[in-house]
Amino acid sequence: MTAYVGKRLGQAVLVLWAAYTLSFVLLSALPGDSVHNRIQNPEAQISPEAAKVMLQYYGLDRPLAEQYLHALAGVFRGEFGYSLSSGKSVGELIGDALPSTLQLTGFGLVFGVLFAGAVAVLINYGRWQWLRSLVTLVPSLFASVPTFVVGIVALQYLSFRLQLIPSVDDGTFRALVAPAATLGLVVAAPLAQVLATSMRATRRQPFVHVVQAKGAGEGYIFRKDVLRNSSLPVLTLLGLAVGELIAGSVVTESVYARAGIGQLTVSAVNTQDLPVVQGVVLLSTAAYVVVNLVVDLAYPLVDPRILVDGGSRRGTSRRVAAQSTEAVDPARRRLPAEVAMP
Amino acid sequence: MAATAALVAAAYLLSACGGSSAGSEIAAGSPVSGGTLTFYDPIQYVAWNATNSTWSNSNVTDNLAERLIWQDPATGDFKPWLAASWEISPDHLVYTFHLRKGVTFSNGDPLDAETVKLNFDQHGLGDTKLAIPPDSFWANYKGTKAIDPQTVQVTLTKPNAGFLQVLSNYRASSILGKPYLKQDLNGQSKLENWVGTGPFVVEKVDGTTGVTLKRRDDYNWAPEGSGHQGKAYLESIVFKTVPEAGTRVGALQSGEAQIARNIAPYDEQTVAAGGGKVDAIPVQGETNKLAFELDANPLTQDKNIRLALQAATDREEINKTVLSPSYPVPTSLLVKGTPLRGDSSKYLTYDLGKANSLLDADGWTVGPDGIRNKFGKRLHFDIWVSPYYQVSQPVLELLQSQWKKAGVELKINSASLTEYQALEAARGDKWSFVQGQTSTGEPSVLRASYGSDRYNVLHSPKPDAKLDTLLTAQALQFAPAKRKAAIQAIEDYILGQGYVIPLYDETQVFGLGPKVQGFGTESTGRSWFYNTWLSK
Repeated sequence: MTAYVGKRLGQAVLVLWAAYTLSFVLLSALPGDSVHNRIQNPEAQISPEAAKVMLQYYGLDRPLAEQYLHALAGVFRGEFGYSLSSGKSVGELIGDALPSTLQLTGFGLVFGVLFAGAVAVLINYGRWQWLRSLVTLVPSLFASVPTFVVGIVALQYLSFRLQLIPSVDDGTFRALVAPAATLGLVVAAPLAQVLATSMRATRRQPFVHVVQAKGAGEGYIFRKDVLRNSSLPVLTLLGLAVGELIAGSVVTESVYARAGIGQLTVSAVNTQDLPVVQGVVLLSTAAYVVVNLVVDLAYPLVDPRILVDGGSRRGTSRRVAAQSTEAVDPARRRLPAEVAMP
Repeated sequence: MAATAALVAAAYLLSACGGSSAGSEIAAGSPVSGGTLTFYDPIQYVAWNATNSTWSNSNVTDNLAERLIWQDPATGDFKPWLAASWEISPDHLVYTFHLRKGVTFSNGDPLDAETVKLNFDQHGLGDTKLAIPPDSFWANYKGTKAIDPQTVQVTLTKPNAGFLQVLSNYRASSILGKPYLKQDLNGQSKLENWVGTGPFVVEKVDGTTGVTLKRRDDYNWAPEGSGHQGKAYLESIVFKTVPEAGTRVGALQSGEAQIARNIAPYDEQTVAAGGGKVDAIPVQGETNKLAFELDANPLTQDKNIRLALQAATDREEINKTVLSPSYPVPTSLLVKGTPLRGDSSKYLTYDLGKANSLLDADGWTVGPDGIRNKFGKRLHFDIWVSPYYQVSQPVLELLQSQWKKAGVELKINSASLTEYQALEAARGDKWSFVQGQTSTGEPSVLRASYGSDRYNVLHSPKPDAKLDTLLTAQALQFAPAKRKAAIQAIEDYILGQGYVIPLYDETQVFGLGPKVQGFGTESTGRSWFYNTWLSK
């Protein structure tokens, strides 16, 4: 187990370095940078001599390789440099923006999971056939409506017409509900699809019939067997959903004027503020790597068979999630050693 | 009673109850003290250096720091502010200021000659130790002497008729306290470090997307000519970045925000219908124009083509179709309300017949597809949508159809801000036009823009000596009538050569909620909240 964790940590550091370097190369390849933009803006009226002083100050007159090494050395010291457009330290900017984004993505995820669960249960346990068919359409519907459309429509009605929620973030919980729900919808679509499919597959498993034969009710089976057995592919998807949450927060934060990492990213990209973009890249890569590591380590807790078989079930689950036909790889399926008695 | 003449008659009003056309400076009843005003801005805040003129930033900082001289935005007159009086030497090189007594900075320091000197030295000479670049507004600066604590003397190396305006300009001459001036470039870019004498002080900064200002209760040195004396009416002002236009307009209607900046022409009706007011404020300085780039495409060097495109441009139609009455139709190189602006309407009338006959005489014949050509070469131009102006694209699209009537093909390209800047720096042979303007409430803005030693907007392959002479000459004319004639001479020359095509008067459009009274700006459309109050 220790060797396994060590290896995964090593990979994580490598991924972080690669993301940092790649984004540095890409952004440097683009013409211009934040300081040049400031210099060339006709409103700014900055003279060539003044421009030289500024470029020197920000170290932009040095060769690219030197800039890169300097920045990388800074990262190891825990210094991420200064924003070229606002003069604040990158750490400070990210520190200011992070709490708001964590709130948004955290609630967005909770909302998305609850919503996906409700949809999956309705698809599988809905009372009427027409309801089940109707709800089956929901995931594809949400997957295909862009976030900003949901956001703008929600604002029009909930905020400007009914005045139920503030349209921009005022720090209250009330202001968080609509953006989190908007973001949750985006995440919920694939989760609901996979969860519904894997529930259906689990309910067809022989062991479920055994439990039914022993007289357990539908509710009991759902709680004890179906839910746990069908959540494995969902766990995998949750790791992947982090990426969607980060991407979705960019749009959501713009629409709802929330001062978070998403808005910071948009403005940093617009102004080509390299140090800030680099900081955000590191942060989101780290988040992604950490969440996926946690998901990997959580598998055995959900499904003890993984440790029995040894190694990681990651590949299998991914494939399963992609195919979403079977909850558990049939080749390795075995009856649980004991079937609980009601 | 508190009718401030801070706004210009171009502000128009479409309120639900039907109002006068004089805009928001007509206050309803007597001013109420107190309350919080919320201001939504589309653009995130960048570095807060005193010389930064970014729209979003300067709408905040204009309320924190002040100048020695106040320029009345309505008349262009200069009035005492932090300086109680001043004398100018006969050779126009030495300016002596007597500072107003009893003025203090927000940290309690008194305003004295030494602090003023530190400010002007930093602008005029820069400070390499602190990485502060010299300020291009302060060309020909020799130095400043503190004669005694209340008297300060500025010396120039060359006379400059526009210098008083420089001293009244928010980004060139705001007087900041010593703690701020000791900071380096990065330190000066933090709003928390601002120490000014203004009616408001910084209470809170939220990253790059929000600022809260609060009133200074001991403020008592408003310029004469402002609506009142003593402290400001508003208790506090909350600025917030709200990029989504629909959200800004909706928030005005729901009362969540009281002012929103940058209302698009198509949203003006919505604001008015919701009981709000649209306040359009001309930004003094240059009109928004297309400048021919003379170093790029040989076609731009043909004066007949330039004059033909000028005649083929229908500014009235641009105003009616894609803009709104908020944006005045240009009649000069300078925006309506800019002091001493010329009258150049005769160069700017729409005349398709003239455009066609100029091009015919130039040997351009109309081909089967309606586009002219000469020696097998089409009369074709490329243009890039300017990332700096929100109405750039619709205006250019209309221009494309107008020029087509004269047989000229205009191809519109789009680029991101950085791509645009890279293209501008590369100066390829397709780079025929630049859309832009520079704003300053003073006609010498033309020198800043056209001077071959300044921004050099035309990029002539070799400097146009005649134009440079005219631009320098106006700075030496101190009698208003003579100076006006010198400005007219510049306009006559530039438009006679057809160097630029004015499109519309640069305008800042604010949406005001129904409660906002007495809103005003300085001469280039930056908010000044000293006279603003909220009715109950």
